[in-house]
Amino acid sequence: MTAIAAQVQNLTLTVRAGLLERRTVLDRINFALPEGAVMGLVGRNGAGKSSLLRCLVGLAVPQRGESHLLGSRSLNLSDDVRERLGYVAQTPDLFGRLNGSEHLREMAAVYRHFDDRRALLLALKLNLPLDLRADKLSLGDQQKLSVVLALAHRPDLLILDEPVASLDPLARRDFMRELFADADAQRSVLISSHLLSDLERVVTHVMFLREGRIQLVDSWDALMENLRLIVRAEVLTHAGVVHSRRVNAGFHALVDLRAADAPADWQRGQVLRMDDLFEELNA
Amino acid sequence: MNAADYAQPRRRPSGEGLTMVVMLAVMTVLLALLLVLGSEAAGRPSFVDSVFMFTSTALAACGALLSRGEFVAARQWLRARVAPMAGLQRAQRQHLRQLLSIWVACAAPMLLVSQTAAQAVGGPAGLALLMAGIATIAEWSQLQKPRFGRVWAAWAAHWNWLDGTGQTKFSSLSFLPLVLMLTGSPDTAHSGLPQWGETLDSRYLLRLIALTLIALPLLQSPDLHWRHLLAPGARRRHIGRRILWLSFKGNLCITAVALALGLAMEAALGGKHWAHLPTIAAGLLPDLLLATMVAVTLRGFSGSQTATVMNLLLITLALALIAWVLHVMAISPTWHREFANPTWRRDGWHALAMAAAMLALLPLMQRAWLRADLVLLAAKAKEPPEPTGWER
Repeated sequence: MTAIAAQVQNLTLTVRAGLLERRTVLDRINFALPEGAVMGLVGRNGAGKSSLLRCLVGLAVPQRGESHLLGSRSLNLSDDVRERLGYVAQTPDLFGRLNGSEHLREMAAVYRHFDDRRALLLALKLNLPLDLRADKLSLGDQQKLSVVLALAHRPDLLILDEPVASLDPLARRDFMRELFADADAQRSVLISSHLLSDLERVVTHVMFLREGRIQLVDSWDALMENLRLIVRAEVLTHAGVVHSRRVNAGFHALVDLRAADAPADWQRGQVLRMDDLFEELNA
Repeated sequence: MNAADYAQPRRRPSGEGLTMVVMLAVMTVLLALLLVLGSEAAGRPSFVDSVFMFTSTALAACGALLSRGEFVAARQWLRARVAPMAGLQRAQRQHLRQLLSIWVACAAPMLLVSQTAAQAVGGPAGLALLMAGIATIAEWSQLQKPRFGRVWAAWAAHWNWLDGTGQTKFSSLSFLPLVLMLTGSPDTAHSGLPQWGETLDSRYLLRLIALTLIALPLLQSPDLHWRHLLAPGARRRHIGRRILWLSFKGNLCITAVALALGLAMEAALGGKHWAHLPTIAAGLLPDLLLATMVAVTLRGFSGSQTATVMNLLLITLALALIAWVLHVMAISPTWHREFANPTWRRDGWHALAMAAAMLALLPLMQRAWLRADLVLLAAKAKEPPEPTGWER
């Protein structure tokens, strides 16, 4: 049986939208991230990606359901799991008055497995100035420092909320390489990003979120193998239709070949890349 | 930077214990001095009172106020004028500058007290003596800077507010003297707080509510940056207790400063109530602890997303309280008696009831913070423990 790095069960999160009104941000989310998997979290702005990641690390508290990281409840993570967890938030949230070196020392003081050498090498690779105060760094450099801090203690589980949004292409490439640098490490990664081409190269699993609900979640290979886009003049009501939308005179239907009674002609449908799939699901 | 820079103990540096020891030592020495020297009637010269007041007020005011968020500019201004020591003459100049800076920062209360002191020993001579005393303290602190800096940093680390910026905090503090004045003991003619064995009436409840209202916006926690919350050693279920402990320490300090300033001013106007300080403190501390516990629990249950509702509630309650007090004061010249409806005494049963209430609140408070949404609170915490202003 495959070990599970992260598991979410029936997670529902609402936030206050007014004095008496609440808005649902996450609606009955269920998924499991197998150990060693790299899951891409994809969705439009406001889809609930960051909220889901915050619930996972225990910063946000869901109204219903619960989540576990490496077997530990998100709201009560054990020290062992904290040691094995790396998190990059959407905003770098650094300590403004400390420079890069001081940030490394601050984290080295609390993580037993903090690897100074790795941190310095990574900073060097990413061309990150360690002697500047965080509030004097560019947004990109702040993001790099945030990434260095998350990777330096060699976490087994990485939760990354748009970690490369502010990085230049070279830094982005270096970061992606670094993520998978330890060939032996069974590192599990949950990463949200809008850079779908980057994501497509590294993920083993993918989850599409829309308005707080999961649209699709599966291994990327399975989706590539079994999802097809077909165009019809009329709307399809077949059980294997994952999503459909009206386009000009006809309908685009996203179908799953694994459906029990999937017609043979669905095999001839178009295979989608991740950005096409994203467009189909969100247009 | 190289890897050798990390050759240090792998634990978060904390001078918390040391800070508390120093605080307690200072308070103990001051109180012991007070008790040993006895009252003025027993022969203690008024000059001792003045020096005592001045020193304790200066220590309390500089230590507490200058470490606060509101005084960043003051700290920077001070730091700009205190360069690294490099020779006796330069050091002397620095001390003078430091002295003047402190003097300016604490101008109003200091001047009041120094005036009394100067009068006590005769004009300029008294003032010169006081300045010499302060210079000695400044010199000592300069020599002890490496050690003192750590204590200061640990001290400053505890002054991070849970909610919002520090700019609005003093508005609630301004109610403290009013609350203490209006909710005194029905047994005593002065406005002192009820002491052991004295009667408690509805004013006591009023004081607890008022203290809770004051404590709510003053809650503190230094650990709510998510980097600390996610780090090993962080305990979500301990957050409530940690906030309670830090907030209580903070409130203790604020109350000490308020009392010191109040008593200093009273003394400057001719009063001599220093001897009451231990009894006032003994009456106030349990109330303050209970009020802080209630505040932490309420804040935990309100969560970060309901801060607006909480603020509205607080403002409404505070306004109602003020309106009620003003109403009672306006309709009756003997308004002190309007409150006086003795119901119970501050005795063993009262202490037991207080302890029971606290014990009941403790799990409730923990539970409240176990389910509190920390996202917005964590987002507010952008800084590690603040630099003290004296590191370089």
